[in-house]
Amino acid sequence: MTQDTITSFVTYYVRDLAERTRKEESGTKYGFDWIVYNLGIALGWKPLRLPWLRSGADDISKTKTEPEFGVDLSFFKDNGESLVIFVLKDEVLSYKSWQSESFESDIRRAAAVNLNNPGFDKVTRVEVILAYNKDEHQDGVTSFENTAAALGTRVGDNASLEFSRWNLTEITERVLIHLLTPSLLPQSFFGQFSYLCSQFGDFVHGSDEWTNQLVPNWRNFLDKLVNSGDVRMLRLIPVTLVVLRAHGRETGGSTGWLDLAEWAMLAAWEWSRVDGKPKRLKIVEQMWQELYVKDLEHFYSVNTAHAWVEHGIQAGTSMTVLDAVADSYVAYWHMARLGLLVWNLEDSPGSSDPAILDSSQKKVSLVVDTLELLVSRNPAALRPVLDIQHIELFLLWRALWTAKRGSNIEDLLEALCDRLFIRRLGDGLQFVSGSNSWEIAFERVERSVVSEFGASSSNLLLMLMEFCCSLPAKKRDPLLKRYYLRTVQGLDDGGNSVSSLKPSVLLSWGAPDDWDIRILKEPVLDGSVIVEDFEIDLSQTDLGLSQQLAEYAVAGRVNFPLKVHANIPLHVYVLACLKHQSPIPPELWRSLLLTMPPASAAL
Amino acid sequence: MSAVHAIDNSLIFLAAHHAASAMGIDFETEGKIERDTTLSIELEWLSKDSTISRVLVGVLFPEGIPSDLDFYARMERLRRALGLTKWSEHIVTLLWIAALKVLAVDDQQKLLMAFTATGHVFFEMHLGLGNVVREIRPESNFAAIWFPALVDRLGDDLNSSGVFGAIVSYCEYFPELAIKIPLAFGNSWKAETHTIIAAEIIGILRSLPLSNGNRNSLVTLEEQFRSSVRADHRHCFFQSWAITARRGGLDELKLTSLLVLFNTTSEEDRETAIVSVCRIVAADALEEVCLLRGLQWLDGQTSENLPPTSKHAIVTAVLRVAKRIWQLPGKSELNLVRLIENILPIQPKHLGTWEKLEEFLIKLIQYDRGEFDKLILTVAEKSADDIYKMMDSEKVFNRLIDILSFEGKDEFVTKLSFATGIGGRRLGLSIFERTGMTEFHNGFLELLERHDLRITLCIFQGLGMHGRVVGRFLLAVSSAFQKVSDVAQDEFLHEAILQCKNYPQNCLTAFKDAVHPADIILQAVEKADTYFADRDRVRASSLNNMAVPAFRRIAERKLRTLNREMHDLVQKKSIFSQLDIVRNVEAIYGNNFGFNNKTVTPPYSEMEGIPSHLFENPRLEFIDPEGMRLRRLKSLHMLDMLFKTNDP
Repeated sequence: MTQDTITSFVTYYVRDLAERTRKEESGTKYGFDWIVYNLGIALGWKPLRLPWLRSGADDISKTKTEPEFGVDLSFFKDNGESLVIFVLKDEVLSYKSWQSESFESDIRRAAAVNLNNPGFDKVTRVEVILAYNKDEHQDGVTSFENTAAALGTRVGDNASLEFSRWNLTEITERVLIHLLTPSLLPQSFFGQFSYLCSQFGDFVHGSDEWTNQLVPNWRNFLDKLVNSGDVRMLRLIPVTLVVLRAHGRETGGSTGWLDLAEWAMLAAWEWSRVDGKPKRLKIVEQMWQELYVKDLEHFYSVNTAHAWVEHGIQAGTSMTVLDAVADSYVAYWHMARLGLLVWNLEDSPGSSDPAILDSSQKKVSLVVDTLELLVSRNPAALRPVLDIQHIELFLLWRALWTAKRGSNIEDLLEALCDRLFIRRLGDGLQFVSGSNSWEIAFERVERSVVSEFGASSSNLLLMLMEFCCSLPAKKRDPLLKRYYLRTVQGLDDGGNSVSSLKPSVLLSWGAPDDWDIRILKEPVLDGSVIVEDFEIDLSQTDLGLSQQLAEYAVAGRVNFPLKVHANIPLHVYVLACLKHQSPIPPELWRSLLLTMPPASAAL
Repeated sequence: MSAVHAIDNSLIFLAAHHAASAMGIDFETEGKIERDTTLSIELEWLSKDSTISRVLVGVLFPEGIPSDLDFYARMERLRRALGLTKWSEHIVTLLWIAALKVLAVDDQQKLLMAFTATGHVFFEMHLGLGNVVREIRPESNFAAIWFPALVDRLGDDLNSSGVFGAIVSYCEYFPELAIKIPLAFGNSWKAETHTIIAAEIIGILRSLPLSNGNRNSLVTLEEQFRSSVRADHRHCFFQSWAITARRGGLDELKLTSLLVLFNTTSEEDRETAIVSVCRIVAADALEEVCLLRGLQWLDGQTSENLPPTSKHAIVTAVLRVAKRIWQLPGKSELNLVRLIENILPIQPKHLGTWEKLEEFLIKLIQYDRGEFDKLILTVAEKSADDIYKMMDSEKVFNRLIDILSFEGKDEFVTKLSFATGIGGRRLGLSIFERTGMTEFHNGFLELLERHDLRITLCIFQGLGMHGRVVGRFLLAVSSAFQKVSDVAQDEFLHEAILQCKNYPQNCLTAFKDAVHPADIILQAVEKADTYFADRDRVRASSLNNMAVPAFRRIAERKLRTLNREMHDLVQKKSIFSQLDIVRNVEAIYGNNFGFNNKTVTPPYSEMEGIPSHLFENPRLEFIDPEGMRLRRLKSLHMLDMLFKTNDP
């Protein structure tokens, strides 16, 4: 995340706030009075006058309704020798608003402070600050300067009088310097967000604490934002991520931050899906690109050289075979993000400028290179442990497919076939688990248990076989045969059973009709299971599989058409599947394969 | 000396008295020599006068002689009171006989049958069974039940002389009764037990000078069994000849006709025929001509498809006759090594046969080194798939390995490792590993072609040796690979780098510590150092700053389990750890050991092959388990190609 991006998101957030926080019939309107108050605290000032009546931590303080002579907020500073008085306005400063929105009258009232009141004994300097969270016109600024000049330089007998302005830029700058803390958020979110920040600082991404405490808390917090009733809270989402980032343990980006950002993005996309307004959609698109995708890009540009290191993925530290499982988790995490990044870069709005196009293609190519090197240098990338890891393998295949790297797809599928066959033998690392639980996967390895629910069914294997159909027939046929005999059936080249495991049942999945409505906010595991039985023809080089796969795929497309929201990119749905550990609809790859000319692929 | 006076003052009386009252007695204070001298005198006295035995039985069983296990329990107390010596054994037998004689026939039989249900007392008293049989003369109908019960009680115990001594006595003293037993088995014939007893009886009777009547009965019995439709009866007949041979009752004529019979046996009887001939030739009493005739017949029967029992019998027979055969002139006409070669391979699970084979090899190495080299190579080639695993798990050739640490071992192992087939090379590498060799025979190594080097490298890749051996092996062959062409050098370099990554301690450090290492080793070290430096750099990067759900918790549990397994392994591996008299020290830190005490402070010694926390796990087996397995499979494929073609 660049400084410009951070500045933009904080600016948008501050700009969209009201003058004062108040409850209305339509919901709570959050004001930037809270920000100015916290800035004063952050600067070490002593609050003197607040625009609200303070209340408990979880509640919103009650706004004072009576006029207080233009003074919205006031502080002592310099041990009580200076008095700072804020006049807050959520209006554009212009000549027109100078009068109509009571800028002048409020400033005059603020400057007319009575220093004879008890408590002002030490005050020798009065500073009146006009703070407004909108832009300004020059005539408005001139009006301010003229009024300030007219009001003179002294208050009473002993104190000097000064005027200054905090416009949107000034407030934002001060926030960036002093207030990238939970205090930046409205009062009602402060407590929970403070706790989240401390958890984010303490917990390691992916740890049990992270998974069982921080992520549920974070999602709960996001739900609260979504349900706050104030659409302006959409702007708060990136701000929370900015603040969280400042509390993280790492510089240069962290997977943990990306994890939370992904949950936040899904919440935002869901918000825009429900809201349906183009303006909100634009905000979410901007967040997605500027906040998440840019950060993802930055993360991997910083770590590209690391991804190329042989055996660079080092999640396992136990020096037992459990390490192989742990490495798989981390490798697939990165594969998924790189795959999403490729997809996003490809889908980015095009440009007619050849230089920009070329640069964009180079960027895609570099990310695909990184992805490929990560896979080739880390054996864990070829080790799907859970069936649900078909999502990451799909993203990997898709990246290679769209980059037109056919021979690399062939290498990948061959390597996967060999390694899955080794695991199919059943006397080492275990075969792909249908439980889709890392805990169960680790326990299976720890206790060398082979039986479990779903151990003999595989959606992942079927998907890989369909990927084989993306190869030319000469390559496809022997590979399909190997997949079917070795990894599905557990037979050697002579047709003898070499596996202690039962043959896999190949399953396809048909998403339910409301998949697109639910997947952004929850796991979708219902839908239809389709058992795909194949009739084997030993006289054919591909055992007759490619034709049957094609027929099943066509039938699947007809029976389970993919419905998605037109304005939400497909890869956002894939991210949702990743986060919710839900299968992806086969249509995602079948739609690519079935656009091919029949001469080069069966599907 | 009057009998009453003698009894009252005898040690046996005292012991019997105490045994009857279940009181402990300790004769140790009198000293063992004095006790045994007294007992030997009293035994002589007891054996001459059966009255005394009866009186002592009365002392021992004042309430009357029980005909159940209580009898043997009290006899055991008496035996222990007298001390576990041959004197006490004889005394107990005499009193056992005396007690039996007091009893009526039914009770006698009950008491004898109860003996087959005894616990460890069985083995304290069974040597007296021969005398018991002789003195009691059990009826054949009873003997036909009792002998099988005795054999079943004996089980697999090798200390069988008491039980079979009883059968011998029965045959020798009561041949007219013994001859009825095989037929008396009738329908109760259980394959193994009854076959053994019937064969024993027929074999013994055949070797005895019998009356005409008994001889005729025996001939009839033999014919009945020889031509029986029941396989177990026929096998009993075959096996009986081994008993006859053992007792010196088999001459050339009988053997010739027997072999003619065996030549015409069905496939069903073939295995028993071979086993029988193996036992016949193993008989010390067999004439030389019969021995040669028997071995020649066996030579004609051998093949690798023989059943395991036949293979075991042949290896055992060869082991037994080796010394006799090698002392004969014209030994080359009958080659015992060939006999074994023909029946190879021996399956890994038949460890008993492997044990006999090892004994034979140990004899052979001292007798004929050339033949030894030839045979061990054939053994290895025929068991090429299993030989390394068996050697590695220390299931076979443990004694042979010790003997192989002789002068000239380097050349032998080098030849095996580089100039033989797959099995021979695996055996060579295994001996290299087990004997702690650090180099091969230089002169031989220098003459090797790259083809042979590549083959052995392939074989080495497929073995999955332990870290320390890997480092040793690669260093030992590095100079040879340094001198050959690029392909082989590349293969070696790739392997050396991989093993440095796999075993940073045992391999990479060993390479770094090597004195004047080959350039190729230095290249491997450089690459491996870069690899580890890169990994260290990436470990700290945000790419890896991620935990895995549930991993830490389950890994900690796994390590606890491994700790327990390591403890159990140490307990199981070490006989010393089961002995209270030996102090067991579990090495939880360090890799040297020594003692500090007031009397001795020896130098600290390096621990070798001792399970401890310092055992280095192969890293790549956890980072890339499938890859390592694939690599082994690929090395097998490459090996196949290397053997098929001259140098692909």
